Amino acid sequence: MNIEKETQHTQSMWVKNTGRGGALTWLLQRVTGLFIVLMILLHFWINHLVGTGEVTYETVFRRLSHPLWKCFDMAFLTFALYHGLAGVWVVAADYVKRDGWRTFVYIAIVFAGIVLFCLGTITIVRFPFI
Amino acid sequence: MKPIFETRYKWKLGMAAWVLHRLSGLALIAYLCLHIFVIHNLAYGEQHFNAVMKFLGSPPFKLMEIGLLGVILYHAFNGLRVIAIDFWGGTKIQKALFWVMMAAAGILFVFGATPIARHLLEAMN
Repeated sequence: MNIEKETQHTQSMWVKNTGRGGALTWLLQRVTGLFIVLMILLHFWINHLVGTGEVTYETVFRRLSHPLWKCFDMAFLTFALYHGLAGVWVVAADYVKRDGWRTFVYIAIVFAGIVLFCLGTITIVRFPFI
Repeated sequence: MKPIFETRYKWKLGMAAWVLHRLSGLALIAYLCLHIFVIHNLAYGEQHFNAVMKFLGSPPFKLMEIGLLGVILYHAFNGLRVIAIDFWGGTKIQKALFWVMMAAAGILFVFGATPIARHLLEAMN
């Protein structure tokens, strides 16, 4: 195992590497995580424990027609996507060592985030699509 | 063939908790992607969405939903433990903290899984 090669820091600007140390990501994981715990309990409660507990167009309609719930869902989507995808990057950064692949994985994660965020946003904001 | 875990500590509680936190995290982001895709079916009208929900209400999915709840609660409460360790010097009590968190998670699990299990049993009869 070539320890020297694997622990060297690259100077390339094309590589998503430790650089500034990831302190902001570290902090945001904790902050978003805390919000998500609270939000997910409310989300689960309102969707599965109130009323019949089943999810139908009707039950969603009653909730998601309100701007406040749209706002809650948007915030939830943002926090959850950030937290989840940043987490994927943390894991990937541990196992993907080669420069080119690191960049590729990072871009793929950002791309997935953008696509998922757009899909979720359109669904939430434009509901009920009339 | 390089071992996946190049830095591996002894199998202790903290190590196991960390591994499970990672695995549960990966499972949850995978679930989130599916969830966003499923819910976007709201865009195709009432009939279509209700048909999708009916399909996902069948017993195997209900069972997986209970599993999902478990995974969420594990990740959430171990995550709270991580926050306690990172910000409130919980290192000294990390093992006890784990069991306290899991107890809290367990209570919420019973609370949340019971209605789902009830639906499941009703659907199977």
